[in-house]
Amino acid sequence: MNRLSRFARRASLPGALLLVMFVLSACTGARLEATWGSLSLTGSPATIVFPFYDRIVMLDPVTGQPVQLVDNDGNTRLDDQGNPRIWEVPDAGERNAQVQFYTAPVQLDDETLLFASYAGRLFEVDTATGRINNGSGTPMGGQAVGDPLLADGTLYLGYNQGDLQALDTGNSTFPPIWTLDTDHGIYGQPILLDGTIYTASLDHNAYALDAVTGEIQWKADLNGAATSAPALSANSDALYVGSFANALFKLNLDGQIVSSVPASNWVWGTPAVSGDMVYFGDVSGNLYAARDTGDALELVWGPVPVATNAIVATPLVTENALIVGSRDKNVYWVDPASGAVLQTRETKGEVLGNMLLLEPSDSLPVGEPTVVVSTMAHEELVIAFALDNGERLWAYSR
Amino acid sequence: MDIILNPFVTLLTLLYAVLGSMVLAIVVFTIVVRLLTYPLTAKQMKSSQAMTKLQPELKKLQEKYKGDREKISQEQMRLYREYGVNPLGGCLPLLIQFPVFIALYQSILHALAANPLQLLDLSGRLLIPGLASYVPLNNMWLGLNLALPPNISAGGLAAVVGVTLIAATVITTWLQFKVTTPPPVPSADGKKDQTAAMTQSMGTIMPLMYGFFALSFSIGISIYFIVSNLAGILQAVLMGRANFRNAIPSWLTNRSSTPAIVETRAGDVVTPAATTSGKSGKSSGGKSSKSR
Repeated sequence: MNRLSRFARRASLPGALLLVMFVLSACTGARLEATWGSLSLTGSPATIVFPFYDRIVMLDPVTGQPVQLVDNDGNTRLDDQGNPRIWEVPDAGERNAQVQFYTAPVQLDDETLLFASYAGRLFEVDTATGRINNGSGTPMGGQAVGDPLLADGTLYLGYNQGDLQALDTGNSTFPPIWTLDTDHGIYGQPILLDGTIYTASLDHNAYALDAVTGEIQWKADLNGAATSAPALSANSDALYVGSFANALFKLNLDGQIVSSVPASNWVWGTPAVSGDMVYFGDVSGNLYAARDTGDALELVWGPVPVATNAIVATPLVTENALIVGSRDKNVYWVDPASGAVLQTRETKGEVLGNMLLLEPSDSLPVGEPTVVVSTMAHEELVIAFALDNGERLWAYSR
Repeated sequence: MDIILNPFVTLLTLLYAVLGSMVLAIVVFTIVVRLLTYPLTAKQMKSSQAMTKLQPELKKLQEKYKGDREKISQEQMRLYREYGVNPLGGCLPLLIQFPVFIALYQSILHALAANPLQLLDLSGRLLIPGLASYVPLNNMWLGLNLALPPNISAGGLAAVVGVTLIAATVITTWLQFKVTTPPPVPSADGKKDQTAAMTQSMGTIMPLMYGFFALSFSIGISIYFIVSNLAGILQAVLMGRANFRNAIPSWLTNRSSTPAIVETRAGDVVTPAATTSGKSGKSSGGKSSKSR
């Protein structure tokens, strides 16, 4: 007994240290990192596709419920327990692989959606069955953060590690056609205009590339990292792009900085363009409105401290209000004329991903104009609000 | 936590801006942290020195209460209290590093911003205007991402560098522990007392634990460990309190782990000659005990 107690005493301190070690490793070891999903619409009638964390779900825009799978005769498919099968890809790809999603899918063909993951793999998902066609995914050149762009059979995709690649979707292995190597990550979706790809990088530069060859046509120094995708002006003759230099820049299509609007902090998100007006937020929660006069960008109002934390998602522009999501877990309805907050709706999670504005139509049978936002909280991953009065219509939770 | 973390992140980014290298920034940052924690380290070393000086007294106690381990322990504790000595002083430098390590670990992760959310977080942590122009920091070094744990299975240079960093962390942690910790003292019956045994087991567990950290945490942390350990050894040398003999295994020198000569800063020489009587002829290793 004495020997046992002596051993216990001797082992107490090393044991405590081992405990600390395991607690620390549990707190900081390998686990899924938090991601923000990207909302998009697909099909007709349209459904909401939402890849988030390690799974993908398709939601009914009217009810917010996961879409039920049907067979060729339109009958709901049932699982072994007789419950309806829902459109969900749980734990995408191989088990134990840390598959994560930031990006919206692209429609590869009528039956296939292509998802680019943060785990560096492309997943082909059959839209009819919600099943992955290519098993554990096809390796790609890096971790996808920004939405990919599909045009003429080529997938343009930026990576967290710093490359922009053009991938050949005509080949099942999606081989790269060309690669642009930048020193840091590309978080924004590239845009394509008249055979030129425009993108911005965390390496402080905006780029114009030949879409076919990847040859650099110009690059412009933004004096700071750029996480946003460039936004095209209403006349398609200029680009707006924000940077960590606390500014929004206007570039002409020759790569010259024409004008800029100062901000109070980093401009992370892609600006919203409506006619000659440009709306954007910064990471302190300020909102700005600028007018493009042709020769210059002129600040109309701002900084207006709409939120108390970062505004990352592109604001939605509607006739009567700007809809602004924030990391402070609120969605704001803002007066486009003054920046004044008209109403606020609280959410349970940070709103960082892009938002959707659903207008009723034949292919989108929602009862009224609806704002759909995603959050980082599992209790409330996707929420729909009525545009007019901000009434909460539904919420999807995991 | 932000009160500690934000200045750490700012300082690290500032060093990066000045030095142009994240590895150099971590090295200099570690040295700065070492300097900041110097008063604590110096206090601990003084405690260790006092512990060494107490050896003759402890020996007397062991002889006086021979066979009564309970009484010996009680009297030892009384003696420690009387002289203001912490018997676990050898472990304290490493333990003190824990909160600093956690803040530093977090600051390296936030400064390097390996994922989008960490990059977004960084916007609120830089306390000096203008540092944002250095963001994102270059987190690549010898083909490795400093923000990520070493990927040993990757093979090639990445695996070699990863294994080397882990090995260097284990070795330098062990070396620092040995060099800065007073050697254990055998009791009257030739056995080590509980404190000594505990300290010795710590000397084995600590390096393995830090090796595990180096394997699991970001490479930047391994660099911090290695530099911190080397700085600790250098600090002990400069203070005249390094005992390199303690790092030489007894089987190599054919000596027991009986305390060697310890030179104090004041130039005193404390020999444990009095601790080796004819009765205590065996060390815990079972080898002959010789005094020097």
